[in-house]
Amino acid sequence: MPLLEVKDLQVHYRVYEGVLKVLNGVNLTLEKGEKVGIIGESACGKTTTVKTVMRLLASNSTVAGGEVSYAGEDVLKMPKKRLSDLRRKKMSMVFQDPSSALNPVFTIKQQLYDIIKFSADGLSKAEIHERAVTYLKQAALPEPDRILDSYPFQLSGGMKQRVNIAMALVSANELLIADEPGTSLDVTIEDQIMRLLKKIVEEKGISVILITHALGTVKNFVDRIYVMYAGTIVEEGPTREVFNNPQHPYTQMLIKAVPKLTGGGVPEGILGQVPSYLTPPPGCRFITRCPYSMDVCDHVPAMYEAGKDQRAACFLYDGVHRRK
Amino acid sequence: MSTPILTGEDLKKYFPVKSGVIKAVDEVHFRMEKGEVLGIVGESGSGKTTLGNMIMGIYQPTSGRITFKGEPLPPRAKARPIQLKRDIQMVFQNPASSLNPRRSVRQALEVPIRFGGDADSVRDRIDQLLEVVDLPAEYADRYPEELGGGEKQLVAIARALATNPSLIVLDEPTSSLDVSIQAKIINVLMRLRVKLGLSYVFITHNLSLMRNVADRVMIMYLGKVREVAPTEEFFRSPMHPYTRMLLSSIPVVTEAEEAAKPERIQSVGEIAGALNLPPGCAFHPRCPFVMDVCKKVDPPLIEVAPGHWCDCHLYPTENRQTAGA
Repeated sequence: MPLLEVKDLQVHYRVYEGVLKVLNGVNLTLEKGEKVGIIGESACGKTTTVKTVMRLLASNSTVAGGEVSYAGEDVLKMPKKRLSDLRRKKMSMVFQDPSSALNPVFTIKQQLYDIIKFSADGLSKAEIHERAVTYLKQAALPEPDRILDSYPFQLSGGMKQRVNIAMALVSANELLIADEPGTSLDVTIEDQIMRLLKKIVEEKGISVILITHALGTVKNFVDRIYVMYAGTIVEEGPTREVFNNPQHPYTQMLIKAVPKLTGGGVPEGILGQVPSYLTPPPGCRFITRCPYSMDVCDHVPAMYEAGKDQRAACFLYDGVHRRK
Repeated sequence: MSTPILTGEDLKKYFPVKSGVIKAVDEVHFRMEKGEVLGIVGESGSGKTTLGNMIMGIYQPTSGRITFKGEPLPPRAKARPIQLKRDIQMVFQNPASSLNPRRSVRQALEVPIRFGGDADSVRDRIDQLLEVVDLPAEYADRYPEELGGGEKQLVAIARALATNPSLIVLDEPTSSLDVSIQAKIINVLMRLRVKLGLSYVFITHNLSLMRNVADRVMIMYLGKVREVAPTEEFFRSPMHPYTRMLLSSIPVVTEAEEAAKPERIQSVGEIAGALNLPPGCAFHPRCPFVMDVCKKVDPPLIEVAPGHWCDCHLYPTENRQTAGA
């Protein structure tokens, strides 16, 4: 049984203009100890997907269909108490912006102690402190005692993100969801944070979902990749294969659009825009920007086998249609 | 040698604060030829935006001077003749905040067109500007909220072009955009550069992008220029240990890129606080090649190979020209 299984998930948001049909049948599985990445551009539903898993969705959202099962249990239907247990001991999340994830008016000590108290019952003060120091050390923070007495504004961005990682480690014994953990940091600091995170999860055997829009970041981190576009998974496969042999037209164009360190000029990018979630195309959502669009693309494509262990949601791989 | 379009001579910008002085830009020299794209690359706190703002006259240098087309540039924007203001324009990082949400694209473009002098043909000029940046003419009556992020940035570029400038300072013009949109913006910028004979000061933290668009790359770290070289040369033989750390930290997409990175210098430590810079070379606490001299003496920026400047004690100073000379 996989650790996490998301089946045909559909999430809508109610807004003034109507209903945003954001997630449209997202399927995702995560085995124990596995690291997967979700890549895609802004507003493609990456964060909505993992927030549904954590049950952290905003109040104007509704899960219109599908299920999320964690080790066989339905997360969306489980009682509050059980959910709280999951969040205390099994899974946790690291957010994108390290500054806004910490409360500015409390010291790191107050915030980290609270999380440790929440994670286990009946800890003595000394035990709590001892654990706090251990987690901070695991996150490669020197002088944990000085960090504990600091307010967030006294720490640099990289240190704050390390504190956030330490806080997530308290509860993430099985699953860690990292939502763009390095995006707001400088590239040399991001490199340090990603190496640290990888080392920790591999040592502890924690399963990871890493979300990012920076393609290079996932490449050295995860075993498998899901590519999202406009609320749908368009391609999945082993990291190497997806980067070396992208199959879905969107993945191909996205990888091509990244400026290369080896030069070769500026890529052309993807023309057009992501469709509005108010009135998304009824079939394949990439149809408005796809150079290969066909009549059949007005229907929703299934995931077809495309290359070795790879699957793409594109009619070009249904065995009937061909690229013109 | 022809007259450079822009030079900076011993530029300094210090910000006095309660607890000391922040040296945001310190002893910066640079020279830019007409038609060139100069990539100014650095992480947060490197002083790259402060430098851009001094070129625009938003900040006045503490000392040193900037010349434009061979003439000294008045430090304050207000003191610059109108022709100079038309000649130097800027595009900001976030188009959502650099466009007024209550003004239509037409209104946003009208002001600089009138300011540029050709007020009789405003309507035609707006059509022309939108065409130049690949936007349909009917966008003139739209408001920023009706445009996508990339389209907003194209409007901001059209606005900068309205006064027929010869130099544009681009301050992270694509950092807030997705890669698929970034490509479009960069292509428009590069096409315009050839068509209109523009020179760009391109401020960014994205070295991969600079590999593809800049003629020369200038690396800044804690207010100082650490390395300058023509792009090809820069990526073929990066010299400064900081540059090499930066290059090896960049996440890349293809195997070929991985192979093109210099020998890995693992990123350690953090950028020092701007208030108490380390003595000597400010990079020494993070440098894997640190020597005793680095902790005491700040190395000068010297020409290590033709056109390739670097400030590091690893490269001996004998018989080399220093930047001030």
